[in-house]
Amino acid sequence: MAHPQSRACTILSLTLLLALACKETPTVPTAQEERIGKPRRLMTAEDSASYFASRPAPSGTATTSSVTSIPLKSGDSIVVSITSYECSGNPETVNVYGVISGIVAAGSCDGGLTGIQVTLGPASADGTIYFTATHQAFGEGPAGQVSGTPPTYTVGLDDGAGDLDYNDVILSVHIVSSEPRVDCTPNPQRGVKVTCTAWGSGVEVTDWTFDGSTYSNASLRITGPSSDSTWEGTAVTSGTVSATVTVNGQPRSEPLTAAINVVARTGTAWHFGPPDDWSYSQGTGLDYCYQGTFALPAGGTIGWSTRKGDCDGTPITPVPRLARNSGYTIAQVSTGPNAGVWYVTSVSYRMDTESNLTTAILDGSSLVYQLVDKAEKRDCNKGGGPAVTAVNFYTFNAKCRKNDLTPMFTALWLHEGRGLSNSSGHQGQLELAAANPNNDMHGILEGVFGIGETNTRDLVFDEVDTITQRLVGVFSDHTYVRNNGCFDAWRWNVPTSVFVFVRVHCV
Amino acid sequence: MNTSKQLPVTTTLGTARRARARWLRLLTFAVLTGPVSVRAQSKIQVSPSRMGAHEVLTRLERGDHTGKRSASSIVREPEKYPRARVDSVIEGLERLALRSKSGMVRSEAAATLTMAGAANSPIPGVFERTLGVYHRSSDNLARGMIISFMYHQRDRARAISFLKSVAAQDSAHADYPEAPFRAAQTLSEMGPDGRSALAKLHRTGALRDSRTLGFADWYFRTK
Repeated sequence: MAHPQSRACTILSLTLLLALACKETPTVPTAQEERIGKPRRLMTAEDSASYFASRPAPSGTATTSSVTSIPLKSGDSIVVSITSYECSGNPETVNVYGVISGIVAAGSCDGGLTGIQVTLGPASADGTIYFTATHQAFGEGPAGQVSGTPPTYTVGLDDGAGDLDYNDVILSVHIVSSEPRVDCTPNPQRGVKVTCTAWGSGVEVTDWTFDGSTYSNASLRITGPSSDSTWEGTAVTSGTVSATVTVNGQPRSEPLTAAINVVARTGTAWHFGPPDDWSYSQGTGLDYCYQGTFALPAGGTIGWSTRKGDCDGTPITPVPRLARNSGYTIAQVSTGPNAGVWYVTSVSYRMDTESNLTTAILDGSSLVYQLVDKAEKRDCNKGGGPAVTAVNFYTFNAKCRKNDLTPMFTALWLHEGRGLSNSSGHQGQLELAAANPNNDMHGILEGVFGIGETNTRDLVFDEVDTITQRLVGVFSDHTYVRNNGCFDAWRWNVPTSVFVFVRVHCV
Repeated sequence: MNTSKQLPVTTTLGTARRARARWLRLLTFAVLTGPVSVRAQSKIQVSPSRMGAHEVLTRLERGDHTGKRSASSIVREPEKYPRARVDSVIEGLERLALRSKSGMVRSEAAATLTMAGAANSPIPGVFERTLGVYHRSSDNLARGMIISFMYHQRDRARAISFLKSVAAQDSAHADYPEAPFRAAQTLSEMGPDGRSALAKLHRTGALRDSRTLGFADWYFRTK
């Protein structure tokens, strides 16, 4: 954004109030002016549209601070000072929302915000506040980025112009509180630093304590180092922080307390689903997993769905029971309210599956049957050519008896795959189960934490094994794998050495 | 300079002094440890949950994951909880495994009940109660979880004996269509004694379900 310009402006008359006639003496280069559009005149709707259509790419770094709010107690007041700004609004308005709400300041970016300091409050209840900036043409920006520790914070605001440099207006926010207190970073995301600060006139900390629950809902207490006014470290689990303090040398009868509300990590890394974590293919499965012949009386298994590259029915890679410490990483928190706790830092479990059919029923199968029946020999030798004395399943059906096997293969692939409808195939049932939030491997592990590395790995394995075994059951079950099609087929009858026409196989 | 990374679970290491004046603390540290400050270590205390059996089972039945975690903790470490609470949770898991309207809850309860056999000191009779649920259940997925979680049993001999009996069922008379295959797969995951039991079934022709036989053929051909 351009630096403030010096200019001399004259308002000519009442009728010209809608347009300011200004004589400007620019002190910044033209490139700066182009970057902020037309700062010299009141902007119309057409000006705004034109600017948005032609504006250059954002010039600032779109930093995404995870902290956008400031916690307050009931009765707190705030002293807000505008420390700097780089904007173009006329007016540019600074807003505050939450337990203290209203307009902090409104003025022209052309010098109208200089030196503004206001006191607002008191807060009507315990809660939080956040700030925004509104450009009179581009609108209101997002919640400002908060840094610092209590009682004084810095808030960087970005107005609706959208260059995301969060310096359109920069505030200093000082909390005025009559009581000593503890404040912790509001709603820290798991894995991000939480900072708790005890502050107030004459306050000195003698002890820090965190009270929460373990992953198994047992009571958890962590006591920290004494004497530090700040206790900070990686946030893993929610609870209450207490600071035992003296005030002007006298022990305070009650500790100062604050809640930590840890929120779960989100995004594709913490969700188990396609396309990042699942894959499926048909016809690529290993062809030696099962060697069913489809002959009578016991045809064997003629189609299967397995983990990719294997014949195992466990669809998860790495296989938890074979590699207990693989598929995820954990780390220990070294400082702060959750010091000593181990938590999951990444998950890499995948669900890669594939299906195949037995080679015995495919065109070109090397499993052939010696023909002994005259009628069969006759039908297989129609049309001349070399005498046929042995045929495989496919040839007898397709060529000797002109039985189209297309319905059979279609039905079998649907049976192994995603099914004809309502996930009526094995892969379809597997994906349906895996999509259930209770089986979200990544999402569930996101929240696992423990005391001690062994305990934590045991908890992870418990969750992973339960989900995996549930998926194993669904993957192999036939309760809902049906209605994918029916077909007729000539099948070799081993006891009598003839092909028998079997109607209506339904899968 | 003490920069230990490992934090003890139940004890406090290092020195944490309570000094009224900050300058006295700093002086003390300077004398004992030199110019680098020492960070006192944290202490962790864990106390068993006081959540009652009713609350635990209600949460589990509602699909609240905390219910499953609490129930699992109680059945796997029964010595840490009042016996009455443990018994109530076991009874509740039996009921949910058999009669919950939710398939997810039935399988969750069946798995958690089976995990009671994984405790260092399992409640007497819990293995039999688990098998009772298996035989009375009409839910193939819940039964499959019981078969599969035999993997965790502390009494491995009984677990393997049960799995062998299921793996050897023929297709027409199996507990449910996939039961023999699931039992064989679980045996294959149970280390040398499970593998040995499966190998004997395979070698003696005791595997009569075609899919189970196919699995064993592949397993002993390639593993």
